[in-house]
Formats: sequence, structure tokens, C-alpha cells
Amino acid sequence: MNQNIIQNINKYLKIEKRYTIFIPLDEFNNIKNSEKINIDGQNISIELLKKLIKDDAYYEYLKKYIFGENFSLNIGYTKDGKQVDEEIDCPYKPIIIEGIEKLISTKKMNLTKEEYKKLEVLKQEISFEKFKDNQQGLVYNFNIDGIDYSIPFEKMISFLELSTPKFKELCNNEKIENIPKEHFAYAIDMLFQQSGGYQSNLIPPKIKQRLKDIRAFKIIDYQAVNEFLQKDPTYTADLNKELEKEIISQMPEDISTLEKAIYIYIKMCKTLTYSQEYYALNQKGEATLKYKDPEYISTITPENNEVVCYMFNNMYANLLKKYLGVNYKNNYKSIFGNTYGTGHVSLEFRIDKFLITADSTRSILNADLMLAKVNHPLKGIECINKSKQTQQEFKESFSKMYDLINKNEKSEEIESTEELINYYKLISDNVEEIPLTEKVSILTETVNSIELPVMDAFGYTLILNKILFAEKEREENINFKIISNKEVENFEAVPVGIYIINENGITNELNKNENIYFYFDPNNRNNPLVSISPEVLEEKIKENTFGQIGKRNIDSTIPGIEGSLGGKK
Amino acid sequence: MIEKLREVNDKLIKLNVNDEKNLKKYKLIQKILKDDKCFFKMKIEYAYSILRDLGIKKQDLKKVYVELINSKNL
Repeated sequence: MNQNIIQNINKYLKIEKRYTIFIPLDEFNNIKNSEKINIDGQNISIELLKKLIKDDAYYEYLKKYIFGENFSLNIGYTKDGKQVDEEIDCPYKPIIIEGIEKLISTKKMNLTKEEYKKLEVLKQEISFEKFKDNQQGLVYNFNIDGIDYSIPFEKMISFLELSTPKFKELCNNEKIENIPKEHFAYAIDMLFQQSGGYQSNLIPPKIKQRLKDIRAFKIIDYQAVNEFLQKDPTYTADLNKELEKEIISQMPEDISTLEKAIYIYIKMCKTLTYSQEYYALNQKGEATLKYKDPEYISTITPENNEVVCYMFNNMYANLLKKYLGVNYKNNYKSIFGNTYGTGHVSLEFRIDKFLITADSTRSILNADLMLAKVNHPLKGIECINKSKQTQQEFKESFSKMYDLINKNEKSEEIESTEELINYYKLISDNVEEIPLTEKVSILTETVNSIELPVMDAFGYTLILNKILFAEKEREENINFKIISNKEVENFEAVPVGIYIINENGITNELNKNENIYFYFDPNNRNNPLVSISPEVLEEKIKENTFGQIGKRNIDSTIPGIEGSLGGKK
Repeated sequence: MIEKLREVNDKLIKLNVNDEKNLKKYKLIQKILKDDKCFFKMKIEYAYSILRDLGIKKQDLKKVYVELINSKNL
């Protein structure tokens, strides 16, 4: 018996003492600081493993733990016997045994005949055969996706013990033992969790790997099981009939539910636009209140189509529920909790095995509400399943719907324009530099002929900036700022743009200002782009007609113009 | 406008059926042009290069390009 184990301990620690081996500090530190071995992602002290099998006192504690007399095993140090000052938790039973066996197989430890016998006693207690014997005849009850199942233990184990070809074949079927395979896989995971199989038994390597793959959703994707069974109680407002028709009327009948959900999302992004006033006011102020009323949604039509995030969310949820019977959840990012009209919100829902999030207005100008109009890849609708295969299936459904709506010919390979241009770069000998003056001329000509809703117009100009100008040119020769203009009728403020252009490099100097300025107001359909003098700009800033959109306590200036748009109040 | 470019490209594919290098190029351009909005997704330098490949004269490049990236094409 190890004489170092502390016997005289405060009564409060008597319970702890049942499953904690209390040792002196130097022994404790020796264990804590010793070299570690990794078993299934857990690091265990080699010194501890050696003591557990070689030291009788340690072994007794281990045996009680393995045989279930104690529910855990810890190593502790107490300074004065009144409290546990420091503790090491031992890992699960199979990890300890596998750790000891690994030390033996890698010759880091030798056992005597007696010690082998002791090890064998422990192994027998938590063997897989013993586990099966204990479970024999038991039937496990589950409620999975609203369906009650009673599944005998033997059925689940025999599936795991199948030969590799048979196992793979069944995993590719729709059903296993007449149960949808996703439900069956879920049941197996629950079996091992409820029975303590993962923590308490030595599982043969083949079965262990299969369980690991099942739990990682690599073989069967059951991640969505038992999710979204309840309806979100949030009220969803009715849509204007004309708008609903615009979105839904051409949706094919013969596509899957997932494809319909994607179709509706894409159509909504193409039909709606972000509210310019809400954007210009940075989502604050009295003028934004109407957007926070769910009833306001029913006023949105294909012509009066400006929305904000929670409106889009609400409308999308309405259509998912009405046409597809899909349950959803509102995902609020707000300090005010889950209140309609506060913060930012996205939608989460499930269709069969797919778990999906949808956020059409994240980053506003670069969000799906704009990207859908230029057939750019959409970023706001995602499949969040961990299974790569499920994600790939989602992408394929998405491409199919995007092609359908854009009336593209179906691509044999799914290659983006960007990828194709990369190939083109390699084979073309026809690429030439284009003078900055020509690019600026193209910019002014195209911007001046814009006929788009305001926020889409800004999205469009940002795209033009990217395709016309190299990064260096955007840093040195052409700048674009979106600011607010409060001198307007019908709105409290609207967003406007200022282009700053200088072929020789934009200057910040106030006295030698050779920059050229253009004022962009997409609300002015006749003349959206006009030149503006630095003096007029300065005046508008001074009188607070022009202001910053965004963080109010950050100073922001237009190069070469006196006066800041922001600044601390 | 993009429909016209597709037609021109299809003719060029037929004309270059025995010229492996050019055929490869025009087949690639054919793939690029499948997307109605492709010109919104590439730099102007590559757009001009493709237009030159399709036989658009230097003096017409700007006019054609401006029409292709007009906001009404969104």
C-alpha cells in the first residue's frame, strides 16, 4: 500500500476521498508534469497510467472505478485536508485501459505476470462482449422526428458488426431495418450515449471507427434529426398578392422541396431591394419606425419593393410555411433579444436532412439582394450540415435553381465565370492595358444612365468600380464614398455618393486640391451623376446637410475637402 | 447585344474547326458567354480582349462594352 496516500482528511473530503486518490504535492506534480500519451484525442499522464496498474493503492481505486463502484476517478492534492487544492480528472475507462496497452505495445512499460492478470480483470469487466451480454434482450425506445420507435439492442449491434461490403450497402439504402437510415443512425448514437457505451466499454476498432464516422455524419447524415419540430410562434404578415405572384407564379411543380425553398429565396432577392432611407439613417430614428411594424410588410409590392432584414425574414418565413410547410427559427443578433424590428435577424430552417440559414441583407451593399441581380454567387443562403456530401447536394440544387431562374443553359461542369476567365488568361495573347481616362469615361457614362432602385444602384456602382479599376487605381486614383443627404423631400435622409478622381493621385491637401468630384444621386433619374465643386461640398458638410452613415464616433473626411462628416459629438 | 456576340462566336468556332489553338479559345469564350451577366464578373481588360477576339474593331470597343455593362442588363 502506498504510504503516501493521505489518510487524515477533513470530514468534508470524505466523499471526495471515495473516488479521489489524495497524494502529496511532489507526487502530484510528478504526475501532472510527466510526459503524456494521446488516446482518442485525450492526453494522459504516462506516470499516472504506470501507477494505476503497478501501485496497489492506485489499482484499488481504478478497480472500483472500472467495476462501477465509483462513478469517477481523480487524483487530488490537498494542502491542509480541508479542501481540494488541485485535481486531475482521469479519463473514461476505455481510454485508461487503451493507454496502458499502448505503453506496453510501444515498450514504454513492462508488466509482470501478476500485473498482466490484474489488467486482464479490468479488461474483462469493460469488454465489448460483456457490454453485449448486459444489453441482451433490451429494447430501446426513441421518439425521432415525431415517430415512436422500439428497436432491439441486437438489431443495432448486428448492423455495426456487418462485413464492410454489407455495411456500405445498407448505408447507401434509404432504409435500414425498415427505418429511415437517418433515424436508425440517430438511434445507434443514442444507444451508446444512453447505455454509457462510449465512456464505459472497450469497443473493437472496426466498430469504434464506424461509430466515429456515424457521429461525424460521414456515413449517414442525421444531423437534422429532431430539429425544427416546433413551429416558431413569431407572427408572419401576409404578403401583397401581386408580390406573392411575382415570386411564386412561375415556380415549377416538379422540383424538390429544397429546390422550391431555394427558388423562393432567389426570386425574393431579385424582386426586392434594401431600403435606402433605412440605410441612410443607419437604421435609427423616427423615420425607421414604420419598418419595425410587421403590418408594413403587406404594403410591399414589386414596385414599392424596399425592405430591411426582418421584413425579408418574415416574408420568407411566410412563404416557406405557406407553400412548403416548413418550420423555421428566427435567429436574432440583437441586445434586445428576439424582438421583431431590432438588431439583425436571419432565418434558419430544415428541409429533410438539410439544415439551412438564410440572410439576404448581411453587409447590405454586397448582400444577396444585390448579388442576385448580377448573377453573382449568393453568399447568404447556406447549408450548415457538417457532411460534405450534404453540402455538395445543396450546392447542386442551388446551381440548378439559379440556372433555371436566370434561364442559363445547364452547364455540364459547374464552373464560375471567374474560373473560366482564369483559364482564358492563360491562353489569350490579346490582353492590353486600358488608360485610366477611358475607364473614367466609361464609368461616368454608365453611372449616368442608371435606372435601378437606389440601393441596387449603389450595389451596381460598387461592381463597376471593381471591374473597371485595378486595386491600385482604387487606392490612388479613384475613391467612392457613400454618405447621407438630409436635404430631401419625402425622406429624412437618403444615401448619395461622392466620386473623387485624380489621374495623378488623389490628394488630401486642402490648398492644392486638384481632385475632381462627382456627386451621385440615384434618386435623380434625369441626371444622377453631376460634377460638384469642392466649395459646394465643404458648404454642405459644414451645414450638416451631408453626413456620415455608420459609426458616429469615427472621423471621416472626403480627401481634399475641409470638414469632417463624422467626428465625436 | 450578348446574343449577337454568341452568334459571332459560334461562327468563329465553325471557321476554326481545324485550328486547334483558336478553337480552344473560342470554345472557352462560348462557355464564358453562357452567363448573361458574365461581363459584370470580369475585369474590363479581359472583356476588351474577348471583344477583340470576336472581331470588334478598336474604335467600337468602348461603345459595345458600355452597352454590355449597362444597368438595364441587370
